[in-house]
Amino acid sequence: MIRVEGLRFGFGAQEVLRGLAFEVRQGEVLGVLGPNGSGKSTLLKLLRGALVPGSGRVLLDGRPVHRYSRRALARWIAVVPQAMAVPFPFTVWETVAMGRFAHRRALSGPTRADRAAVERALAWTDALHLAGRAVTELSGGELQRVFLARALAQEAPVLLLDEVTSHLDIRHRLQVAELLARLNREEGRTVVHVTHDFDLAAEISHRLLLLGPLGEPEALGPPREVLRPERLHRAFGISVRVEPDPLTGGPRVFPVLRGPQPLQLDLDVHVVCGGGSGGEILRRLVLSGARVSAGPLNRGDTDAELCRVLGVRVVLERPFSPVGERALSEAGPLMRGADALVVGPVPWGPGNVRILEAVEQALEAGRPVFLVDPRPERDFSGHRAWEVLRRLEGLGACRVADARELVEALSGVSAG
Amino acid sequence: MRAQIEASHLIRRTLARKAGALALVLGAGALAARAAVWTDALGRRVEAPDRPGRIVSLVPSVTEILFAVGAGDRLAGVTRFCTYPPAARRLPKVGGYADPSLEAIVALSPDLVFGAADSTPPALIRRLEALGIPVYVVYPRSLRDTVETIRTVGYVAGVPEGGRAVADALQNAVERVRSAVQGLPRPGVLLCIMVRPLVVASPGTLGHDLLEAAGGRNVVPPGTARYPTWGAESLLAADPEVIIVSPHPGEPVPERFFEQWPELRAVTSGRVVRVESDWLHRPGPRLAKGLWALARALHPEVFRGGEGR
Amino acid sequence: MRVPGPPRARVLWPALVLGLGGAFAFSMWAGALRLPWSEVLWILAGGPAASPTHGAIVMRVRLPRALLAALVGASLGSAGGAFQALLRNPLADPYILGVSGGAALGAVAALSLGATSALAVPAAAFAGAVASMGFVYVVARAHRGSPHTLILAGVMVGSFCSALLLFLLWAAPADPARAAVFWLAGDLSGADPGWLPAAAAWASVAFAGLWAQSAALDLLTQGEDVAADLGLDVGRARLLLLACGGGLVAASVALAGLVGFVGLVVPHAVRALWGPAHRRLLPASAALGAAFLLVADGVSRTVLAPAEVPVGVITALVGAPFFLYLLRQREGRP
Repeated sequence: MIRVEGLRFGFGAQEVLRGLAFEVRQGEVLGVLGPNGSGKSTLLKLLRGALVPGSGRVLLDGRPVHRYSRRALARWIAVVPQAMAVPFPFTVWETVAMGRFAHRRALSGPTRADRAAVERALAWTDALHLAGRAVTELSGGELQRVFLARALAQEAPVLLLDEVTSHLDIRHRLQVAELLARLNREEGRTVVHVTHDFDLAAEISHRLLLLGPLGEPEALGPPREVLRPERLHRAFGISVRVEPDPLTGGPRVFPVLRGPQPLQLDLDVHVVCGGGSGGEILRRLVLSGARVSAGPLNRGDTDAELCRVLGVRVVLERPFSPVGERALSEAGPLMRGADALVVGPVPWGPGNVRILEAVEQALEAGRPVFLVDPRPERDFSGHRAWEVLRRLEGLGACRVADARELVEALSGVSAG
Repeated sequence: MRAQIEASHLIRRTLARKAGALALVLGAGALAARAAVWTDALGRRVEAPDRPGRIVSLVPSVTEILFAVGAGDRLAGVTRFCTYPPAARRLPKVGGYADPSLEAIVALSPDLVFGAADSTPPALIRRLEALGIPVYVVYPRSLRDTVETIRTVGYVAGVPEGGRAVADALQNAVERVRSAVQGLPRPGVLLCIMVRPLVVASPGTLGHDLLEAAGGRNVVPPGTARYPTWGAESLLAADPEVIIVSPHPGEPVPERFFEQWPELRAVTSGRVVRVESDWLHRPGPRLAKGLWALARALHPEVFRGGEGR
Repeated sequence: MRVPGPPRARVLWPALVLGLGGAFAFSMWAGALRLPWSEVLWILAGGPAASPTHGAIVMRVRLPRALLAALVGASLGSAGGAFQALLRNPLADPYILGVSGGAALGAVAALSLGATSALAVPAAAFAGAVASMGFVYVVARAHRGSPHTLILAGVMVGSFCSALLLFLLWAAPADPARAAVFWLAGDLSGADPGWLPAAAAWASVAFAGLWAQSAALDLLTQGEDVAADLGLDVGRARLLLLACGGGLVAASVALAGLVGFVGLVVPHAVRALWGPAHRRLLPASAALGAAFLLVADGVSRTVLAPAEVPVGVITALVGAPFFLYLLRQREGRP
């Protein structure tokens, strides 16, 4: 529907976009991502003819965008700007009705078709109840919905949105994303949206266009292909992790926070945890680069889930069952083969106290054991667990207060 | 022998006369150096020579008075608006009357400067005083003030007899006109300074005094402004019997302005009269001419012919 | 669903018509001479007056002045509304684009040079207004022509003209200077009634041009980029609006000098009462502007009678506090 050929554009000597050539297919949702200064907004302006390309062409339905009159173009492309306060107190209805300008003939008043379009647009954006209010009295989210409604009232097959969600709260972002998806699904509208919101973009877009910092195209394709750590690193200069969403399977981007450089541990560490007690430990160990294994844990246990996400090898037992022979025999080699064993602040009960005994065996076999914040209050096994823990300490297990101290203590352990 | 004695007598007499003349001149010189002290119209104490030899006049009306009283030959400088008498035009100029140049004044080394309270900038007066140049300020607002001012200027300029003579002449002219119109019905008069916009003279102005003396009745009521701006409606409402106008820059034929209102009595009876602006508004000896012109316009049956004696 | 209309819409037109009628009546009654209403109506209806001067006062002084006041007030009110939209600034007034500077310069130059023809001052004022506005437009267009650049160019031209104006006033002899000052403060008495029909025709055409662009004006308030995206040819619309609005202002200034505050306050009041949609705003501003100036003119002729206060003084004295009041109303809103 919109074809871009060899597009180059610059402001004066500064080139902003270079060498873009792609096609926006009819009925697709195309997300445009890129760092600040990559020319995303400029690209939108070029697409709608607000700017003239330095070289190359933008074709709409086969004709260059500049051949269209403003009015004709407005019937093809509707733009949703970022919501900015307008100093004139038009009502919401009047504002949305402005979207019908391109359809109205010069001196006539609004027709029935116009009114219907406005009403539909307001209904779509759930803004009917705001119709009589002045736009100067609206919140940011409401104003954005009004602008969206105005673009809808234009009844144009193509919608362009420029970072309309950047300053909205999470609820409104979701609303806008859902609305766009619905519009595309139910009415077949083509949507090109510039956004900083990776996740929502991945969710609703058929394809993503990733621009690099100098305005060069980095990738164009389905979200799964485009949202790759190496591509995002090239475009944004940051490290990310990309995970599939648990519910939808779509890619989720997690920026990697570079905190103070964690200690690097080149160790195999086995963690005994469960019930959420191992979260911090597992995370820190994984961040420090250790090769982590864990278990036995019941399937469905919080820590088991975390292990799955972190990619930690975990020995699993049936849900809600006490630890059985099979699990223990699976965990045994792991424990004995690890460079260090970690026992987290687990609540002990009859079901899992046998794990402690296995730990004791490993300790006697010479494996270093670290106890993280052991307390008698967590013993629900009738003192059995606490006794083992005391014995472990007596046999040389180190006591540490928390996961941070654990990592520090582990740095003194050499790989076996 | 006799011829010799006669010759020596002659020589002695001539010498004596010359010596006497020399004594007179020296004495006069001594007299001229003596300062007089005056109180001007603003109540300021002004110390000036008895007979100032170099006068600068910053007031066109005072320039006229100085020439009239016989001190014109001692004028060193005037403003560019001092247009009467013609001799004044040949004198060096020091600028306008509202913005004369301090430098130009000082360059003429005056021993007396005349200023006016309603036109000379007070700052300028102070500067001149600071430079040791005495400034005498006049402020004639009425006919009577004008007569007084003429007399005073004569004194200050060192020609008291001239001052008195001109002042008395003006006074007599006024008296003559006044008595001639006594008892006559007073027509309503509108005295216009400008016509676009219509600016008129209200009571408290010189023009008002003149028209009252000439046997007229000013249709402008007493108000806050001395020269208020009137609209066409006020003009029509007042409907004066006589309208006096003066030509001014940009309006050479001001009478024509009133032709658009044929409803006015003055227009239908042809009593829109033009009088020279200086004759009516410059507080000097020519007011007598203005007075006569007014009198002729208001009471033509009494005042015929040229200016009376 | 019923389209939600502006607040108090039903009251709009009746209120304006009544207001305009009342203002006109006031203007015909006010003045230096207290004429009884019966006589005024009698004369207006064509009957012979008690005296020729009464007849002249009503028919040849008050009536043309009232018509002129209505015309100028309507022109300034509607032009003010249009400029506020075009410049995206509810605080703009029609003189902001250098019009007043150029017109004043033309008029004062004519007055100072001692122009004798009655047509000289209005023609010079008109020429000055058009020239300065054209200059502003050309300068602004060379720099994108956005509202921002228009305002800057207008301020620059205005300042320049002011400087020249002050020089002329200083250099001129006293009487033309006084006449110039009177003109600068707004003077409804100088215009020849014979010019009214032509002026009215001109103003009607210009107003029609503005009104036809109501939708464009609405769009322009949202910003030029947004307006273009919605389908407006911004460059063309801007040129048309400047021409029509400027034509209205130039004619008003030529006829009546610089009458201030009408173009600023009236659209504001209309917007506050009936909303900013220009289809309503323009005619309502015209009506309210006419009424405002009619009342101001009546007051100017009465308050210090028989002297006449320049009408611009009255509009400023009334306009400024009213404007402050409007501003405070807006402050109250979140």
